[in-house]
Amino acid sequence: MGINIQNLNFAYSETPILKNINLEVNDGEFVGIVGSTGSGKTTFAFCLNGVIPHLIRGKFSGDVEVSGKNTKSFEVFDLAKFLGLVFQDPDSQIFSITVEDEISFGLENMGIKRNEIKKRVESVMNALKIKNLRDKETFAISQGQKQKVCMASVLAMNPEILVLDEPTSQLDFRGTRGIYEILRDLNRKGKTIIVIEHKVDWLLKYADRVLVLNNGNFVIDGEPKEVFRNPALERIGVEIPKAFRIEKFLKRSGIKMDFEKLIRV
Amino acid sequence: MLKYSEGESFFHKLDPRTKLFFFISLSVLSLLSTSIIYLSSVFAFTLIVFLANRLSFQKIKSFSKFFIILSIFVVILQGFFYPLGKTILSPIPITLEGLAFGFAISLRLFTILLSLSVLMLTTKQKYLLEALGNFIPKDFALSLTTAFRFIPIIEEEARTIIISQEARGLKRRGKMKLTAYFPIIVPLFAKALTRAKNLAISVESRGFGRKRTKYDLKMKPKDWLVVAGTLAFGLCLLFFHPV
Repeated sequence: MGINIQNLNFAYSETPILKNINLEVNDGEFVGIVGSTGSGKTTFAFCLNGVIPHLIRGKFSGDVEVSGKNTKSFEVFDLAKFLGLVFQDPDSQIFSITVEDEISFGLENMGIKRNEIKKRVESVMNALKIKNLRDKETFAISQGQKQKVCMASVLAMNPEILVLDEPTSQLDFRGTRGIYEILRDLNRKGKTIIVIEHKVDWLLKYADRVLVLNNGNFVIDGEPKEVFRNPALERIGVEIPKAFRIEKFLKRSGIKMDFEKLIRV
Repeated sequence: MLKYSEGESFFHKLDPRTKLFFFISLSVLSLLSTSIIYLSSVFAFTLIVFLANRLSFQKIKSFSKFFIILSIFVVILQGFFYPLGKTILSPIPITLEGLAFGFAISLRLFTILLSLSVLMLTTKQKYLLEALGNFIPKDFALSLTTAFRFIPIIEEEARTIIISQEARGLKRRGKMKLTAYFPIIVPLFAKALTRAKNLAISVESRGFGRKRTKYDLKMKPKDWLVVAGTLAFGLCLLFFHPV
């Protein structure tokens, strides 16, 4: 099942943003998507949960299947049960007055029983360590906390596939590590994780597969180690993880050592 | 901003539909007549309910400020321009009837504002959403209940835009020209529209659209008491002061 994309093309107006994308993501994969700004990462994320073509108009062609459901024939709110999207900008995702209401909103939409909602909100707040925010007003918390609330609101719905659009952009090192540990945990429990990320060092450590989006198409696809060693990466404008930059430098300087060890550090 | 505030008052424990009924009936009552005595009684009734539930004016301060300024304008303008005005208070060409009419309209405004505050300050968004959903499509219900949440955000955005424009040399102080506000109002509207669109994307992305969890709204005896009380007040008023 997972995700199956065939000949996906999209343009908001004239300029094509996504060009003939073909992609398959299997159940249980942990995929990182990298690409320079404006390469179409966010647009791609909106294609996955059906916001494109249902809510954002443009020239759309091709097929996107999520858990065997074609996004063209299912509404966004029906797809939400299978694929959860954490937005890049928390301010455009959050709209409830209190944090607790925000997290339970998705569950209410699924028609889940009230005491079950309480339980799920509780456990997801525990997992993300945001219990102290429960009764806070959503516009009075920091950007990093907002990002966690957004993630909690999607995690609570327990979708099979999680797509996160730069979920850690406002978080510090510890916060970022916390998020990735949670994602790894979910992944081990069988969830499919797709993360759009600029902080490539984290993908190297946590993802099993990295896709490079450039000019509306996935130009490189493979294991993190292969992808980040690809010489084309710099030209595309994607950051190379520190370990690989050091490796490159050492190799050029003629120093011989166990590079695999270096990367694992 | 009219947002829910935690509390244990009588109205807090009522069914949201009762409070909705209270708000609608008082608003309708206040629209039926322009007599000052009539409107004063409606206003007084609303004020008593407001105070009896120990709601504080602090919570509606920013709103009220705007409406007080608005009503001063209304009173003055009506004083000058009320077409049925006869008694002229010389030496200024203001009519007594005009002032009275302006005052009546302000009373009406404040009645609606207060009864709306009673509803909004004592009802959680999700309950209000469900109560409204019984009468109107739930998409509308959602936009109604969310609208208030965005007021402080839009205020904040206006402030940011003003700061960023002034940082780039826009002069706002000194001569107050309407055109000076265009560079602020245009982006503010643009942002509000984007926000509305993002909101639609956000709620659908989280499954808003099918049957929602029910919160088991139940009309209890005290709800019927409030409904009966409101009705009795309205009928008495209309009996003693036919419109």
